[in-house]
Amino acid sequence: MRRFRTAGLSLLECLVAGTVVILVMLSLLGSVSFALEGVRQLDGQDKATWYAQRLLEGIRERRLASGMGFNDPTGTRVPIDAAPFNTFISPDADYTRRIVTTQLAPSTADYRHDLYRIEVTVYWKTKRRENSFKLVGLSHEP
Amino acid sequence: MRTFEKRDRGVALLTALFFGVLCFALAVGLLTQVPRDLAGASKQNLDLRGSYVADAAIKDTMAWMSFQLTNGVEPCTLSDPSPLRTGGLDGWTWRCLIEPDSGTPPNPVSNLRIYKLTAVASLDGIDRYQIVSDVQGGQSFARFSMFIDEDDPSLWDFGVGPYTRVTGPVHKNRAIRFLVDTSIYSGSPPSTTPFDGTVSTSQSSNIWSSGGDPAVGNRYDYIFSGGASDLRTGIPPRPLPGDSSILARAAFGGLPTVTTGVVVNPAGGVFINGDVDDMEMRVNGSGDFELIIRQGPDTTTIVEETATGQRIVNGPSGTYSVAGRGTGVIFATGSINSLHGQNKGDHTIAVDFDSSKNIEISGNITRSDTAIGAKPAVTDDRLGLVAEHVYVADESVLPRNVGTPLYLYATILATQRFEVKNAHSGSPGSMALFGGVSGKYTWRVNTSSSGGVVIHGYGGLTGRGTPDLHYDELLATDPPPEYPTTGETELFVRSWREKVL
Repeated sequence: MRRFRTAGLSLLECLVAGTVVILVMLSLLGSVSFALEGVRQLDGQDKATWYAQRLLEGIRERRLASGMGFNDPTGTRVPIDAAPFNTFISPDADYTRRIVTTQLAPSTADYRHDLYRIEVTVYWKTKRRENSFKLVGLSHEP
Repeated sequence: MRTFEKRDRGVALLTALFFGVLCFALAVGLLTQVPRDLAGASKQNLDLRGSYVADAAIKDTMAWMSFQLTNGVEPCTLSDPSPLRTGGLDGWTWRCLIEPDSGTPPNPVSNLRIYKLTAVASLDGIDRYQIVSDVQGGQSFARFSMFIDEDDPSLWDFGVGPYTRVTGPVHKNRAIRFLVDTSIYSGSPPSTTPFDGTVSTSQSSNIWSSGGDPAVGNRYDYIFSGGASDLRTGIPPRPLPGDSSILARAAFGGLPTVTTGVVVNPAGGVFINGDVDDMEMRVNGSGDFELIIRQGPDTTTIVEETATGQRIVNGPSGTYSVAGRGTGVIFATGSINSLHGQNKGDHTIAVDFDSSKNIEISGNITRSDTAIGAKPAVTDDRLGLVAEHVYVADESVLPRNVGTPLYLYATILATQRFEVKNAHSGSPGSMALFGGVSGKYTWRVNTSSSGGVVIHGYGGLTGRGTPDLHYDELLATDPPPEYPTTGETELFVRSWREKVL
């Protein structure tokens, strides 16, 4: 008993300290895991935004919406770098896309005859779910 | 090894609690920072989508304005001087306010139509993004390095050789006729290509001399700095101006009435009745621009005084002052048979091209803000020449010398042709032009193997030459006053400012 009373650390103290450490470590691990997931989500969103903008600008620069129009096959998603964008977008297996262009007014009597709606949707998957980002713009292609 | 003693009791707990608090703070930091970053990214995406909606508002509004103008309907009227357009895109709404500038209908008419467009994109009733843009109806012909309307089957439009150098945008309403020295295709593509700018035609193809078509073997990089993308086809044709009355009004300060001699009105520039024997531009000892007009026995001198902001006119009827510096437009109802000197300030010298009047250049035309031979770096002294023909005088008036070029600092529009008189005979000469040339036909200033005018930058080819043409891109955005435009229905963006709201 004497030895116990004079010892530097009590059993109770060690138990409490250990519990505190375990609890803190668990909460830290949880928040780190949450942060990593958030960073992954941000990164995915950033890339998707960049792809969507590049694709939309690419269609406008090359005036792809006019004439026969440019549309990815209905109901499917094609690789992000599928032609004709493979010259400026590198292959990326994590991302797919769907592009739909529409002439606003087929009639030449309508002032919107030369305006085309471009809708670009980029898809990517994370652990839990599928994400998408849609960007819509107009192109003037006389 | 250290042993724990009685006095150390509580150390483990305190240490654990200390690290606990520290890690807790770290965890809380991470837990709050990540949602904040995600919200920031989400806001950025919202802004991006908003920018495309506001951009769509501008595009839609410009298309509507162009459509209205094409059908002869003014977008802005006295009853609705600032119309508001509205629309939607992908769940967003947009509105776009059109405001004409002081010289655009329904205000008094000038040669350019300029509108300010303010587009706002909104989501769920909240304004998110704004674009303010100035758009111009009709592009000034000063934006072209070279503009050709019609074919002259007797001439190639461009000689394309190792020494050819044409900068700035080129357009022809017909197929462009290229005479190619095929030696240009030997070796690797040159670091300096013959054309440094876009070359466009309203046709579906161009005409290339034998073996010169760059489509064969994809040799565009040998000719165009931007490769094949710099050669454009199917661009809508732009008609040359068919009416000099806007220039006459700007020079007179209103609808011209029957007068004689030189008229200088406060609201106008300089209006000259009849032919001009000689017109000299110069800068006097006070640094002011002087215009000397000689018509038969009469001489009229107009001084644009910078210090007083007025014009002093000294003519046959005496000396008098006129308030203001004027519009800068100098218009003659007859031909100007001799033009030379140094320009200062912004001026357009025009004649009644509707009545087949011409301008003849009889000496260097320089500018006070630029050393002779240098490319202009500022827009203080802009000069435009507009006539049916703009001639360079015959060598009996203007001796030709290959080593001493004729310097022309001006952008020229000839509703027929810019040409050197008797270009294909006499002594060779040289010319350096800083500006641009627009005309119905390609310019006739080139050489023949037996003599004629040799143009700087011309080499290799005989029979047809290419000018030493230095495009002045500053004139594209700031053309000389009332310089003719390509047509009011063609709208283009002059400025663009974006703001997140």
